[in-house]
Amino acid sequence: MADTKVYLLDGGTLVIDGFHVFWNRGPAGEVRFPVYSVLIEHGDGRYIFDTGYDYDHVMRVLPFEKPLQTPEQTIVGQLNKLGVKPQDINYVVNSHYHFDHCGSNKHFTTACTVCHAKELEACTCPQPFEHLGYSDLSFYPELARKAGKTLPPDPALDMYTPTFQTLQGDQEIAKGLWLFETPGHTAGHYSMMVELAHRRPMLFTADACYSKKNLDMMCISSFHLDPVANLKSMQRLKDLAAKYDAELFFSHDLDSFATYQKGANFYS
Amino acid sequence: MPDTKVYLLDGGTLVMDGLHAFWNAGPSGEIRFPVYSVLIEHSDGRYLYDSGYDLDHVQRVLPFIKPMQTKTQTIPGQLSLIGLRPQDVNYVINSHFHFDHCGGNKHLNSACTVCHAKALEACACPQPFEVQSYSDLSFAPDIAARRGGALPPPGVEVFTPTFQSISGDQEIAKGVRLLETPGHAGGHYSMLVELSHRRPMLFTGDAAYSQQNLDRMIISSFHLDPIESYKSMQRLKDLAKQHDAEIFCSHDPTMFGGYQKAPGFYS
Repeated sequence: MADTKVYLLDGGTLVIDGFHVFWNRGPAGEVRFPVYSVLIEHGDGRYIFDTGYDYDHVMRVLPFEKPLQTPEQTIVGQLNKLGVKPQDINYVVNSHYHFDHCGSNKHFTTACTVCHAKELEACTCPQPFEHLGYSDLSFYPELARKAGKTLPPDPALDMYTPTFQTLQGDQEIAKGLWLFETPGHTAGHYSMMVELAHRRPMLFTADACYSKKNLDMMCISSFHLDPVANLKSMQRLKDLAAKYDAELFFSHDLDSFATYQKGANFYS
Repeated sequence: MPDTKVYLLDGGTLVMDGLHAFWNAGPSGEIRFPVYSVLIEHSDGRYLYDSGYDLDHVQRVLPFIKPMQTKTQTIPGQLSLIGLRPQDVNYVINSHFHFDHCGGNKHLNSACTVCHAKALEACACPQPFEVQSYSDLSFAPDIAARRGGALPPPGVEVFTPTFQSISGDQEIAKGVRLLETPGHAGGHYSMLVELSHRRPMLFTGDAAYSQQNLDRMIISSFHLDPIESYKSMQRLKDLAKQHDAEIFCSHDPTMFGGYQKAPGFYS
């Protein structure tokens, strides 16, 4: 069996305020941050963890987040550079269903979608303050139609009927590929750890912790459902990293992202 | 029996960011907002709802919120405007125990302190992100000592308040109702006061900082449970409708300008 490989796929950037990144602490001011997806080539198949944002969606619904995304930074563009087609992906795992983590699910027409059971419930019945977070329902057109949301006129979406596999609790979904429950940012949120042959395990925090500075300050982001749970999840990430001697990879950290290996330059 | 009177006691101002006032929505930028207390002269006694902030405490612990408070804007200063002394107050009701709502408790040394049972628990064991909000424990020296707070400086009279903690909605005196509105803090009371000559007054406490929060249905960024906080804001709207009450928000720079303030009163 070939060694597992991990590719980080650059998905462009967005802008939020310092008060969004660091709840109640700030400082205020625009923060531009990266969005990326993780491709895992595993003996059991190809997995993608999160799928970034859809540029048109953001321009239509949240233009104030000032998206910057070249054609190369779409998921199709990123995979193309690796010689992989969307239909080569077997599983899409979503940490959660905020628009900047599921915007490109719709391209993976042959993949099975894996998520936490509570997350699917949450985006079906969002809290009033979560509507923008859960604004891109193109990952599940049937749900969008039930919710009365208009999807962009894309014939592909009419054809897109994803299959879902919902999970609960911590799960090893493939050998060395772990999903750990880290709720609070949203109701059903998973972080992911990948064990590799030639390096320390990689622990992808997703939005349980945007950046290293959040972790250092033990300050959660201002986008959250349950701040008490979110803070516990951040502590859990610290504990998991210590327990498995894992390296933490943050979801929206411009400084850390600059040091990551991206594209064809994989981890193994 | 004399008519119930309600006095609003100006407690000075503080500063926060627009992204504190309107969670995730803003716009950002400094907002200077008022802090005030409510004195109710009732035939059963004198009740004070919230007691503002202590200038020295804020300057020491949170100077970045730029307190502005004259001597007249302290609790003793405001009470003297209507010919009262702190010891004339029989009950202090705290909506919750954030520093800008309980800073003047220590002056009211002959009053019984009334609060939600969960509010006392919350400030005894705050979440890590609540520590700054619950930083002024001078209202409860016992809790301060347990949390390792500094003892009062020598020469300061020891303040040993009595507490009456309650839960659920309560009519604590005829026409004075405490209504549960949690979420901003664990254990939070808004207050409805019925008067003879006008519509009831509904004091939101921090369940709604301002009319704009209610209009936009946006809670503040200081919260323990945003879902509860949001429900409580809806509850305030429902209560106002049900009782045909006028809403008085806690930190509304615009509305506060139009309120009658002590020595003027509502009755």
